[in-house]
Amino acid sequence: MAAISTSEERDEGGDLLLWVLVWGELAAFGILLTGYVVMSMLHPESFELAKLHLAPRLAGFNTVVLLASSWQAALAASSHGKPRRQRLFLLGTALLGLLFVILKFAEYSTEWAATGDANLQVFFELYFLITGFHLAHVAFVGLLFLWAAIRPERSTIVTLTTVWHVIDIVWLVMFPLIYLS
Amino acid sequence: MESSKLFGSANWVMMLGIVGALIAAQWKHEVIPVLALAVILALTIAKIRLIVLDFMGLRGMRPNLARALMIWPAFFSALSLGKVVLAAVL
Repeated sequence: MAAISTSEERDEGGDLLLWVLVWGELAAFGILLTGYVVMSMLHPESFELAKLHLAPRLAGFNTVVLLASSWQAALAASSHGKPRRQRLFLLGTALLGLLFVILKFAEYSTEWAATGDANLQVFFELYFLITGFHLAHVAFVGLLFLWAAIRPERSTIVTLTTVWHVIDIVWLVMFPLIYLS
Repeated sequence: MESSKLFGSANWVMMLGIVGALIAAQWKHEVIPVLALAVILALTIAKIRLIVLDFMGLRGMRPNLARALMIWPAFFSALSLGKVVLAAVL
């Protein structure tokens, strides 16, 4: 299988920026998730109780939404030379990203009531920090996809799609760690 | 990447995703079985391999970078699985 964009195709500056972005994201979420794992070991009962207030069904559906958006982004990146198709895929990515944000806020609204419990505070502080930081990424990069749909440029689309896949991978790691284990 | 191959790979990942999410959804408020979690983690690894090796174009090009990119999610996925296995055993 050939790559969407090889290192030779990208200019060195763009390549470096992309890797700084990718590793910056992985480092930031790596620190947050490590903090979550450590705290879950220090407060196992409180974390188990707090997880009863989460909505894994909604989060599971959101996983499918994010996977579908990544698929749209990959199709957009592979539709070089077909501007109409590419715009549709970029728009599809942005709209699915927006759907993820809406569903996540719906999920937050069901969980908010439990945050008042002092015993669950450590879990919910970390939960909102990690998922909120991820949500901010989805919302911001989703908006950039919308902008890319208006003014599509190959290098921008490849960079955005790569970052979108990283955001997607972070969610695929977060989902079992926070909701299922 | 050829569109048909990309479509095929994405279809496969999507199906795994839907199956994983549906399995996960059945265990609301209960400890999820190790097998169900393993399905979801298999999806994660499949997706990461697809992205790192094929989309990012690192297959056979930058093995150390590719390995490092795959170790990050594999580490946290192993942690998730380890927690569930420990909870089941203890």
